[in-house]
Amino acid sequence: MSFYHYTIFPLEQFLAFLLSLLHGITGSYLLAIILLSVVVRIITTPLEKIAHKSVIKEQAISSVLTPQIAQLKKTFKGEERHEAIKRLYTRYCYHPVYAVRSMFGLLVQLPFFLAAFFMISESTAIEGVIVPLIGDLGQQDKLLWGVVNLLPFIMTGVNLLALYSTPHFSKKDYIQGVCIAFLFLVLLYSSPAALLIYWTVNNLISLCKNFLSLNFFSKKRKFKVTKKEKKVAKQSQEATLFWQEESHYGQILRLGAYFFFFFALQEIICLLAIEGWETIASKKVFAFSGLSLGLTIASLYAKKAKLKFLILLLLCVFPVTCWAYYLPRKPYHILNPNLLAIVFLLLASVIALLSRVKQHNFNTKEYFLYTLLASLVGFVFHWSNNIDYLSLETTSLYFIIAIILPLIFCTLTFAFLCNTSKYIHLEGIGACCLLSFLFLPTVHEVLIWNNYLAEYALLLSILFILISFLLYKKKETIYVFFGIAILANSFSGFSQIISSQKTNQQTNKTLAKRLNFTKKLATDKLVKPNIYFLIAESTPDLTTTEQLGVSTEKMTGLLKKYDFKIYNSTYSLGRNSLSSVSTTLNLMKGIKGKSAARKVIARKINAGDSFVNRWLQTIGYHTVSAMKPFMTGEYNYYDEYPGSLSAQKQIQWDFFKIILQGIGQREFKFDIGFNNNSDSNKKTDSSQKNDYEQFLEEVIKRNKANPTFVIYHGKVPMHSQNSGVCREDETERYIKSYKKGLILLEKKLALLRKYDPTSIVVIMGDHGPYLRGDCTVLKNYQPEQITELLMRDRIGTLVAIHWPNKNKAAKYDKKLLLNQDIFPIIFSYLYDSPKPLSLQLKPVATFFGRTIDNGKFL
Amino acid sequence: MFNIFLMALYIVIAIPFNAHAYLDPASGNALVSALIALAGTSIYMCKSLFYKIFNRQPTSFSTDTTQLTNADKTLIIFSEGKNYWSTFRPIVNELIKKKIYFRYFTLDVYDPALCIDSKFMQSKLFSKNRRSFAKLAKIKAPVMLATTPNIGALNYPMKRSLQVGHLVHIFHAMANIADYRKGSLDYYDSVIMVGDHEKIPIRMVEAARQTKKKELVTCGLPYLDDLYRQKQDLKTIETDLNKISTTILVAPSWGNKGCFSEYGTDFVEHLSQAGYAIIIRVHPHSQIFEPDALSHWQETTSKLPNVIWDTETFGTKAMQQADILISDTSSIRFDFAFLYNKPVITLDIPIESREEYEAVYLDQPWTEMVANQIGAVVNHESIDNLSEIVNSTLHDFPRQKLKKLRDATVANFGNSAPEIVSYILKKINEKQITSIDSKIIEELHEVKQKLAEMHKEIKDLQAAQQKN
Repeated sequence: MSFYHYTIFPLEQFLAFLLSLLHGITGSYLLAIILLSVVVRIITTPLEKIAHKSVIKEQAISSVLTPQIAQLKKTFKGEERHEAIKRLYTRYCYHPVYAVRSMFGLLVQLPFFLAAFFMISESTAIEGVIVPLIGDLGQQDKLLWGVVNLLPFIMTGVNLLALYSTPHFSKKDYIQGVCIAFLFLVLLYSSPAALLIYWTVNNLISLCKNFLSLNFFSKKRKFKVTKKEKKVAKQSQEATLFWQEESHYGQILRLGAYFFFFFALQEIICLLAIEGWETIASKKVFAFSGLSLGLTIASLYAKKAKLKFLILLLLCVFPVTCWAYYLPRKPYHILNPNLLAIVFLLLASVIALLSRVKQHNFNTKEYFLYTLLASLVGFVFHWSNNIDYLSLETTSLYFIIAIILPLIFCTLTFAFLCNTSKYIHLEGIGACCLLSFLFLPTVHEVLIWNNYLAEYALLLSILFILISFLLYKKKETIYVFFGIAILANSFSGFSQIISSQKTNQQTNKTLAKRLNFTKKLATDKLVKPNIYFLIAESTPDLTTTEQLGVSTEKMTGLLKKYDFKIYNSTYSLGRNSLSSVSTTLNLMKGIKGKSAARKVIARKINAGDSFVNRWLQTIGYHTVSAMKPFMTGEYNYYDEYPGSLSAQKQIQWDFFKIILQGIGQREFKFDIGFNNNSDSNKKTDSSQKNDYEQFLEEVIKRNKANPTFVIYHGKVPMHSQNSGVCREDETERYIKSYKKGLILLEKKLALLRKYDPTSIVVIMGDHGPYLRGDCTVLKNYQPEQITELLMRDRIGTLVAIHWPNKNKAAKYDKKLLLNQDIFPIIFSYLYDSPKPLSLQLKPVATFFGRTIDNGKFL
Repeated sequence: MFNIFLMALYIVIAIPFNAHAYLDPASGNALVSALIALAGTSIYMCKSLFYKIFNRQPTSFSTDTTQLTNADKTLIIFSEGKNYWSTFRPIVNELIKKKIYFRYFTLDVYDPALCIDSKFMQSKLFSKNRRSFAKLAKIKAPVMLATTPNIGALNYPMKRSLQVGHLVHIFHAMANIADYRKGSLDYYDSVIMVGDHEKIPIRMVEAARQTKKKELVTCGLPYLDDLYRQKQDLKTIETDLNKISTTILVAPSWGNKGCFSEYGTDFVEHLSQAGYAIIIRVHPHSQIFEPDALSHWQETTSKLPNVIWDTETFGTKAMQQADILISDTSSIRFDFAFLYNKPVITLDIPIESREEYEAVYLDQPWTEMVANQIGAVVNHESIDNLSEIVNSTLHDFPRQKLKKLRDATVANFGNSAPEIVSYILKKINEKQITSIDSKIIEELHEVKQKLAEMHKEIKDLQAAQQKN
């Protein structure tokens, strides 16, 4: 994970969401892209204004300083000159580094452009979308003689016009601008048409703005400044009076009101994400909104002003909401009294809060405090629901992020808010909600998913910010710190690269040594049937399945029907997908190194850098992978891999929805959006035309010139939602999904019987469904509390194999207890030799103080 | 705060990951400039570090470190911008001449005061934003001198710092309290008056608004002194206008009090047609608060023959060129009359237009009372005869009346700064003495307590001895 994930990634998701929304509204991708460009420009307008102000400020100060510095350079020399310039800077409260203010405009524009670039470049949705005149939006336009792209030239033309019409540009600026316009033409020449349209529209808006600023269309207005001034003066007079009168109690109560309002919003999002509108009536929302309103009024009472208005509001709204709330629930209708009650109460609390905030004077400390606390509310909310997953180290990191992100946000928005807005607190809190929602997936990726580099970058950022805080009042020291930080950072980054290369080299050496073993085996009896390794997500062995209250009748029937040998009471040495599959494929227990590094290596193994895959490739197998990116990361070592398929892409398109869903499920762990138990994923399921399922079917059906090894990881039945909270209907949901899995499995088995009946087919569960205990990793359980069922609910796995020659298989598969035994037995079968069985691992699985040894629970 | 922002910016730039960088034409220039800036910064920092480590010879500026540590105990001069430099220049010069350490805070990057490199003057630029005003509301000083009316008032962004011992107001023009907005001097402790005639209006406003009585001291008007000095320096003038006829300077005030807002620009047209050369010089606030109206006035008058717009920072040149001034409530009338001894025509502005001003508390503002003494007064009824009134005033108005009025109303004309500085020093000393006094009182109190305790102990001992 790179710095991109902190900055551009959330924006990219936001733009993707906007595009899908606009496409939903307009029904046309061309219009959606044009509107997206317009919307982005509207969103960035206030930021652009601030950036423009900074540029103007820089220009002004430079116009004053330049002649003075020139004069000082004439007058003084050496240290005296330097000291004189230093004094000059001190008088103007200036530092040469402030000249980067001229880059503020770029800082506003660039992230959005990059986000759009990545979003459009990687989008599969616009691929194949044909638009009149332009053609395929996902491809180069080739409009001139079918060879040359026209859109890049149009874009450059608009750019040059926009540049030419920019006011206050010097000759040097124009030359620079023209060079960059042509550079841009080269860079974007072969980009998809959609991106060029987006950027052309963006520049077209700039062009129009320039014309407007040149007064081409401006209208003369009458002089009405005094009235406006009077109004402003009156408002600020009220504000000052209000602030002066307010007591500390009032402030504390108001703070409470903001928090409960925020909680109410959180709950609404939960409801929206999980339950949908039809059941949106929650006592929590009601209670939180009521508390927010009540505290607002109480805070007003503390100040003894404007009380009547809000009491009146409460008197009007409260009985109505109470009456509506206690009515029996009715089927969903837009005028559902429950819904109306919530809306009324929320509105009331919004009005109350606004009436409080509107009259509030701006205060820097308060702004920082409220914003920080508001986002902490969100972060604590999510942390408390994921407490079992977060180690002490990660928790501290998580909370440091929770502080740093709002602080950076505050710092960046400070200038904007203090100049324009009166609704500081609500804006701060609202923005923080958005910030925390947008950044939570990023944060979770940083903490859970990917490699240590991300954590390193994050820690470094945190260090910078903290130290900058400490040095806040000592300006000179901070610049020295800049220098040291650059050196430290460069050194650290360099050492990280070297150490990661070292680990890679070591892994490769070990693998090479182990592969020498395979060369010693006699190949005279070697057979090479096709091998299908089908990993069934969260499918335990049949005994455990029965014990968990799930009927195995159909599964048994299906496996018998297709001539599978079922192995009883089998389990895995890994308790999650990554570890279970990687140990199965690599025939080695455990991976050394830090947690994040282990994950990277496990993903590499799953992506084919495994003993099994290399071995099979050595003996002439064509290896094919149909694994989701979660299992493989960005790596691939198989001969054939379709990459990220549309199903995964689709998930990205639905990202915003998934974020809400994840928050709604009170978790932000990896399986949000992958959970087929949720009905809201219908869209993802229905768009399977390019899914891994289809890919697998194609592979099964094709004529194979070489023996083929296919690895496939299914999505169903899927385990519990991994939130640390067991839902009431967890088992029912699993059963429903289990049935769905059976249908898909039968489809595959039928195809295999038809097109490849002599192949070895392995069906293996990667781990259990996590339906008992805390529905997660039993972190707070004592060893004596852990039963065999709880263990097998987590590590129990189904193993069933279809052997072309049962008798031959029977010679080797007597000791199949583990997932990790599968490939030693398969290799023994292929070579017809017991030697590969020596690769079998000890069947000892230890789990929080309890062990299953050789199939027996100790 | 800015450092934190810089730090965030640094993180974006310095962390060694894939940059994902693309340039676009509109922002490429900015990027190049920023890179140059960063390079410049690095050189500057290295130089600073180099001189810090290898050269420890004290410079002429770093000798007096005590002033840096005691900065909070020095006088503050607060200026809104370059337009008030005329007021402060004589005072600043006097303070430097007397080797008195002081601080000068300004809100304007173009303030000429920032160019002064003196070890006695610690200048600092503040931005015009709420953050700066919040900072200013917390500054510490025994005395702060400002021309800004309404400091601390409800409708003004700048609050009075509670840590400023004594807030002194000084007029920045030949105006008086009537021209200020309501509550203008409520938070001031004392006012340096131009002349004694300003005392009564100030007391009347205090009574009407029920505010505390301020200390009033008559020292003069440094602004007028500075203009006088400029006039002396400016001996030869390059004439912009064809000196074919009489030159009229039209100088409207801004907002409701401005004659252009009240009478429009038709009278300029009539005067131009009558063959007069006209210089128009608007109030600097017009550019800020009424830009649309200003551009309209410029448009309507630009086509007229012999009319030019003066945009110089100081009006010295324009005033020197003009034979007569037409204005409204603007204080430029007195600058013109007192410095150049030339008559002024005042265009009357109805009192109803001044509800927001302190003038409503007064029977008749002083400036209106003396309008007839510096020339003629024209209202809506007589505006059509302006050309004739100009002619008659130029020829008939007795100029000696102007000098007489100046001597009666402006104290220490041409040299008010020494008196102002000595008053400020007196106030600083008072504040310091007050703080010393309070310390002595505290110490005395402690000694008294100790004595009382000792006395009690002795009594107890004596009682115990008696019992024994």
